[in-house]
Amino acid sequence: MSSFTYCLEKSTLLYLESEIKINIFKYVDTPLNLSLTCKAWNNIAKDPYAKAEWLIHNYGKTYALFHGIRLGPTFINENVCKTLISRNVAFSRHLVQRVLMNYGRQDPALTELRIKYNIIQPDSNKIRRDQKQIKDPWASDLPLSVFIFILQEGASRFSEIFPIKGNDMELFHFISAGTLVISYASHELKRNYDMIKHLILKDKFVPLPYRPSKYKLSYDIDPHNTTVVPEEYPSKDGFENNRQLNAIARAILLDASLVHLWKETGYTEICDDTNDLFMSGALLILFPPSSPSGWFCPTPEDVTNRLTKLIELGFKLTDKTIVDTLQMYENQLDDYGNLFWNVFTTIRSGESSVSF
Amino acid sequence: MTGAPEQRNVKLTSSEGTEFKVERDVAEKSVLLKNMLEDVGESDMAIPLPNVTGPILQKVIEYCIHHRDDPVPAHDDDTKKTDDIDDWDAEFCKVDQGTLYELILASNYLDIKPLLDLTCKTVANMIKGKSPEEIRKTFNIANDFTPEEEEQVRRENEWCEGR
Repeated sequence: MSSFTYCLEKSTLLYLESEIKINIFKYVDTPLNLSLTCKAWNNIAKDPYAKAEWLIHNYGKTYALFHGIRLGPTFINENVCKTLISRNVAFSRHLVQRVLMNYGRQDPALTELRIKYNIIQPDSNKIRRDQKQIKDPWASDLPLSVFIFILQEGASRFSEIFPIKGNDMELFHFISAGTLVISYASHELKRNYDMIKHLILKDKFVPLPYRPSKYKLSYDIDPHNTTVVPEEYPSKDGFENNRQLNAIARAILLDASLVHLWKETGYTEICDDTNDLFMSGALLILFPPSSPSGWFCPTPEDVTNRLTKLIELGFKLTDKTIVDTLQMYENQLDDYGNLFWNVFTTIRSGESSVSF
Repeated sequence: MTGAPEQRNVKLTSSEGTEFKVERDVAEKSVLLKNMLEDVGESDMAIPLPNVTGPILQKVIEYCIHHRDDPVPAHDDDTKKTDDIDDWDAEFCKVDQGTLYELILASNYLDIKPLLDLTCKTVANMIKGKSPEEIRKTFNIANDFTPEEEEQVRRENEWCEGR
């Protein structure tokens, strides 16, 4: 290590090797302030490897490329993409399809004229809100070289004639029987299992990340309007919402082996991503809201065993799951309250607290 | 009933020639030493570590003893990491900056990834919430930007606003 003695003499952050500086950089939550300190740190912040490591550390390999694209042209370039690919981040056919859907800028003058001349009047308020909220839709301002790189990489991985104008999230929704009521869906999913398996293992299907609360679109809850504004799909900011993740959670409820398929492809966040929806869904199956004929209330042991199996699969009985369950059955707590309490305390026994 | 097999001690020599005896599993927390020990087989020879001073080697050994039963980290961990540092590790890193940098260099040289990550995270935490000027002051960095260059850096790093 040639710089070692030099480092000891200087003993400052500046004289560490680039490789070590990159290892520090990836943990830094305010990269701008570090970049502004001096040229040496600014060079680290511009290094494709440092950017790739920072993305992987902050967002994981499944979503690193999505977030790289989301951060826009001042972050991503062809070298960052290549470095991410060499670091074996997830690259799904779905991501390529969504990039193509959003790439390229709209003409704001034309949009305004369309609104003015009532061509798209029914949605004009929503369009204005969208434009205010999301100035540049996800992937719209990608550098051309990055856009081409992603298309070429997609073609080389999934064949040149892959359905680039498809939408694997929507495809998954249909082939996992998302349109059928759950009691009929199991058979349909089984029938389509090979297609689903191919979609996950070969086309590397993963949903895009669920929108974190800090990026929540404020028009979801409009204080001046009690009408619920349905979010358009696919969302312009690229994130998935509850409906898309619910499709994933529902499919796993029907066939838990899908979790293993996803984990095999490196999508290790599958359980965390769908946890609360999945656990609530599992309880809804055990305790259907309308108590159909022939239904018997499961014993606490049955429920504990079922939840324990799901926990072994990688899911968690989180505080949120517990609170959601109690809220979901708030009118039936006289019937199920004690049972839930016994099950939750049995599963959570040994943990420091159960916070309601 | 047989007890755990007795471990051979490994001798390490610091840059000043101070000798340290550690149990083999402790030494093997270092990938460098693990590979060396596998290559040389059974030997009583001390392994010289000319790049690590005695006090730093002492600290490194302290870390490796505390973490001797931790699972071996995966070579290429795919999951999103947390930045949490446990209490013992935080206390371990309460050292002056010079010692911290030496620990970084030693963990890099000895290839002890968890210690390298811990010490790098500690430096990153020292940067957290600080303005550029405060970072410069903390780490004794001279500002070599002109105002125009500084403005250029802000433009180049617009992505930080959207993270």
